[in-house]
Amino acid sequence: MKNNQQKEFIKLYDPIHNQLFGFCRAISGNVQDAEDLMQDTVLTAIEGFKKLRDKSAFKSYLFSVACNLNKMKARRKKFRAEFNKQELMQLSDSSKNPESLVDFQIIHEKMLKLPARMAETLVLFHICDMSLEDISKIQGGSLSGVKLRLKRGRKKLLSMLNSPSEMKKALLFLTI
Amino acid sequence: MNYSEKDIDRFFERFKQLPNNYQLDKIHELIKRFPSDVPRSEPFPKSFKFYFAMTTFIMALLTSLFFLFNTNDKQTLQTSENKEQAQAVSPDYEKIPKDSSVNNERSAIDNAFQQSQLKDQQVESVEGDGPNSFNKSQPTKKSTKNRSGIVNDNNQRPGVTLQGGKNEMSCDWPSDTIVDGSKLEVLLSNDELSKLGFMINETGVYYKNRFRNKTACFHDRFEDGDGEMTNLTKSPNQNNKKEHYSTHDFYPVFMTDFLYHPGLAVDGNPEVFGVRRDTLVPVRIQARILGNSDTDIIMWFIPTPNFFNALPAKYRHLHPIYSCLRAIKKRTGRSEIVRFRQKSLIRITQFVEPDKETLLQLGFEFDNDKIIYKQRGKTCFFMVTISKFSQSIHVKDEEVIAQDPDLNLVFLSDTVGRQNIKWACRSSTDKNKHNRRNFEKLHDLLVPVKLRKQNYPDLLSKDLIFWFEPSEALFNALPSDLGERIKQEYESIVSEPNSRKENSSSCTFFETCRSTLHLDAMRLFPNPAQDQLSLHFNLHKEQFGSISLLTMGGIRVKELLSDAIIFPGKNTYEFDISGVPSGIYLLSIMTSEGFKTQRVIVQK
Repeated sequence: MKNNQQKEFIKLYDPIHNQLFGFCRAISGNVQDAEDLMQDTVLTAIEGFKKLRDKSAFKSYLFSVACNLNKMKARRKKFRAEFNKQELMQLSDSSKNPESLVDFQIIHEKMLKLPARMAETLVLFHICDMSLEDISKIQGGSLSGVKLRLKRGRKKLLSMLNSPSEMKKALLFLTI
Repeated sequence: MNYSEKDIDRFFERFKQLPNNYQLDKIHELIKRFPSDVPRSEPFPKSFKFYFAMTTFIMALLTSLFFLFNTNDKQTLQTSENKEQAQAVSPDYEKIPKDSSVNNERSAIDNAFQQSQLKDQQVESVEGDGPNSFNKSQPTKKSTKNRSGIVNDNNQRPGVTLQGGKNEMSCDWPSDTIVDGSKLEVLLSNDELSKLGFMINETGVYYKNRFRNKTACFHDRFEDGDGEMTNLTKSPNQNNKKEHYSTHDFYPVFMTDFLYHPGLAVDGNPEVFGVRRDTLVPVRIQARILGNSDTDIIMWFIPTPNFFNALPAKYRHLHPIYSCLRAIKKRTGRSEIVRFRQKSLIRITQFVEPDKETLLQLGFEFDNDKIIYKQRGKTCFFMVTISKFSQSIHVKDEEVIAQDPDLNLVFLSDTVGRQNIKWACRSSTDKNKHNRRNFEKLHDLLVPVKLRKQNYPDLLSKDLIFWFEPSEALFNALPSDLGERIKQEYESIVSEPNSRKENSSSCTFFETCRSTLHLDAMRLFPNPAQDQLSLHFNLHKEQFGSISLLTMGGIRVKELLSDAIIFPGKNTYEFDISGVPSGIYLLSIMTSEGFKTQRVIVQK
């Protein structure tokens, strides 16, 4: 890669670094996997950067790469949705309430169990603060599709959070 | 707790506030290190020849490996497999000292097993059970068979499952969970037992497993007249060629009777049964399958993944449940997470406990080291000999008396109703007369005479109950007041309910008096009833209970009042029995202090 291309890439990348890391962390569940995903995304993005004609679409391009890599990893089952306790440590500064920390963990775990596309939509919209148009460009599909995924994702997440687990059901049957 | 949309919004807000630990400089460095105009990775060579050569090479390698494995001695394979499986169950398997004495080895194995359980728990406390998850009983398409023929889902190593799939299941049971053990019981047919390693044919039921240098053996031969059933033992019966070896990584470690009282153990000793049974799976072998037992027996298996895979689909949901139980056991250290209600065939608490003089009058003889009871039977004359170490019944063939005996000993049981003694009168009618089924039927109206171990410590190893047929001879042999009381009770029980005098006698000694609940001024009317039934009674203190209508055979027809608080004082209930067909029923009032039954006739 030529120096001017590197500079251009860095110039475009820097403003969205935090957003990308937030996305990777939310979608992969823990910091180590998020960092791996970040690095893979950046390297893959650099490779294809030359072919990117419209540099204004860089953000969509970068997030599309991240989404595709995430899907590939999930497909290969190399990805483990495991919540990192470090996250809780980081949160503990802002919240002293242990219950809310547990809630945070539970909601995150449940979110990771949503269908990948649905979880991505939720993360891109709520955590990366992307517009619906941007999300539709990243994920493909129509604007209404994104809206639908967003609505259904929240609904499903809520129902998952409030439904008793299979083991809870088993417990009801088994206990004296 | 119920979550709302606000909680989800709060989660996203807080996620956004998480600090970014990933320095931007690292990315800059990564970008700068990226080689200019050089592809990051070599593209795959697309030459057809290269692909062909590679494929051929891999195929040849796999084929040679396959043949290499097949030519090896089968026994060696099984041994190594056992070792692998042992290590899967117990990673400390290798650490067990092989040259130590049997007892040391036993304890070492026990320790290793316990350690492995702890380690498994560590794994399983965070594991997701994948395709084995609750209600996902059917194996997935990726299931393969291992060498022992057991389906192993997703080629997972036994004892370890992948974490994180869609079917991930965590144990969210509270620490104070108590599980009803009867719901964990596994009831299997002949074919299903065969999959666990049992061999069932026309000659008997056989089981033998060698695993982790241990042998679990059991056989029940059906031979006419001389059939026998062994306890679950560690050493095989060398003479029995019909036994076969199973090489599964699971085997029964305890065998108990149907009342959950421990018998002999293969792994560990019966004393630790109470501690370990929470994590063992009870497999009930029905009496109809067995030849020499009139009662069901229960084999307690070590739950390994292969064990659950060998079970029918309807029982595979037990896998995550047992993982959960082990996790709770590890977390809390509790010993009775699963409660197996200690069953007993006998429910009365009051027995006739005569002194030595009375026992002598009843015909008991006390020797230095044994108690002897002789009795004339209808077909034989037998002698019961009881010592601290054994109980036996001998037949005296010389006297066969046709007339009725004065005293008739019908059963001899322990305090839960088990008869550990084989009745020697060998005619088929006599043999059947003393089996469990008859005991359950008949002992209601027999007089239980109890000999306590504490009264005869040198002669008895446990409390024994002699069940006598009520007769004038028995009543006369007992002390006058006791004999008279029992006689009155007996007459009161056998008389028709209508002819009984109100509160004429108590009822305590007979099993049929197990209605231990005393209700004052109990009235049940109308009787016969049609659509409506009224029940009035007084209770002296508050109790928790239920009222139901049972058939004479004890099957519940209708629950009239379920798990409610019955207050002290006068209680009046009106029950609708319009849906109950005509017949004779028992109204059963069960409370925390006992229960009472009353006969009801329903006439439409």
